[in-house]
Amino acid sequence: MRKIAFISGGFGPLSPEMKRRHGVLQSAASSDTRVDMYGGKGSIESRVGEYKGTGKFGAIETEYGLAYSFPHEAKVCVEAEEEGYDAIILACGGDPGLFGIFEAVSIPVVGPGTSARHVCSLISHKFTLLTTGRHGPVYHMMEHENPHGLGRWVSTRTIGLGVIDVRERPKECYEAMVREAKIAMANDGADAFTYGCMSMAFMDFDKKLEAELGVPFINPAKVAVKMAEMYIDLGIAHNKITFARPPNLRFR
Amino acid sequence: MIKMRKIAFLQSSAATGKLSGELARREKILKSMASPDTEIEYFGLETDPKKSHLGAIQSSYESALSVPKTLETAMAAEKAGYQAVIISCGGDPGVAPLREVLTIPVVPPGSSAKHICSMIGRKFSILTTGFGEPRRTEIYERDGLLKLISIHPIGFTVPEVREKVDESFQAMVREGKRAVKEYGANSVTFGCMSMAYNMYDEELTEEIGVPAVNPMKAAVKMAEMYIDLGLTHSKLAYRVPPSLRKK
Repeated sequence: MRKIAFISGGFGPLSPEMKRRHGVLQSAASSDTRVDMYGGKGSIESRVGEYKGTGKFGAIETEYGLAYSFPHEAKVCVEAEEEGYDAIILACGGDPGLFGIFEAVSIPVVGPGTSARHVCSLISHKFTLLTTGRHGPVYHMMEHENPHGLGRWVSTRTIGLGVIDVRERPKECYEAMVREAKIAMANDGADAFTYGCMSMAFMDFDKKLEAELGVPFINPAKVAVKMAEMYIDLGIAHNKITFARPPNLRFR
Repeated sequence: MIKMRKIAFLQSSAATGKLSGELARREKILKSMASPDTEIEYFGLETDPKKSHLGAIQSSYESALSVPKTLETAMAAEKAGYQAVIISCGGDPGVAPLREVLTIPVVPPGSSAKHICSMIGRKFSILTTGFGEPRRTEIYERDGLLKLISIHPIGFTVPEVREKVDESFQAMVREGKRAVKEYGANSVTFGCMSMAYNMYDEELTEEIGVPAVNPMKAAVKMAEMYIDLGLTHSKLAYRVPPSLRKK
């Protein structure tokens, strides 16, 4: 039985949206894999009872947000390793602090954004990343996200909606994705797509988009589950020489 | 009842289901790498078990020569109901033409392993057969992976790798250590499937301290992923050749 921690959910019972997301992840998993929405030590035990919150949860939309999310995320990842999980999946398409987490733990860490972009690169000539953002293409994302060194990544295009807009207005989101994908196909020569935002991934539009536009749409959430299984099965993880455990690793 | 996945490992010169010797050994390894609900086998066009054999691709010329047969084999595999095909050489010969004629996923083992290397660190190196100075070649640049920093021929030919398992392993340790020390590789992979089937990877990881990614194992897992997620290559990128289109 493989045990995978999806770093998300905090403590207490899961909201209906989190439950739905868990369903999407589990549906991509093999029958002998269990994916948990892991929010730190004790979070799984705290899931009992009825959900009483507002259903709202955070969104990472800026460099500031990425940096700010890291300390807590690192702590939760270290706890996941201590609790015996076989692999970790980060919950944001920006893969916040991926290499930092590599240093903190020895089990495989899967960045869903990274994984999906590599799969795109394997099956296409050129691919485009569709992502959230109310303004034009977010070039700042290219800067910190092409440590992948992927020569086939031709463009990043925003759909003109923020993360919260995506969650609240799925129909508008779908139409914007079709619109931007068509532009990318005509202007950038894109022949495959993926998403930079996990809320877009969890909309689970990929098969519908594929049917409409005739090119593959790679879902980072589903690919991340498969990559995690692969790392576990092959016994592969980042090396602990380059990504040595920080000597001062501790959390307050 | 779990649905079985069906994967073909393309070896045009093999007699499907009637393998012996080295081919049988390899098929056994291949099967051991797959999930319990995956059916995977060597698939070829040879009908005479006595003529069933393993080839060796060691040049662009041999690589190009192998493609027409592989194309035929792959088309037969798709017709026979396989859900994915894996190319049997680490240089991924014919990946583009195969994708043009097939709609099921075509898995290039070399590229798959290189992408895994690319995901688990900042840079990586390739250990491969042949001689001379480390250099980049078009096979490796095709993927557009900018994290590939060096290529290390180990000074053995493909048949030599098959025959001299221990000696070639020592050469891989030597070159692997060099890749880590001189080039700063965070992981390594192999450019040759005979290296993959010698199953050097775990021992090599121990010796050089960074992961050695086995392209054969990577290809099997990638094929399973494509099938499970219902993914295949972009038919916009790999269009059906005009000469094959239905009129």
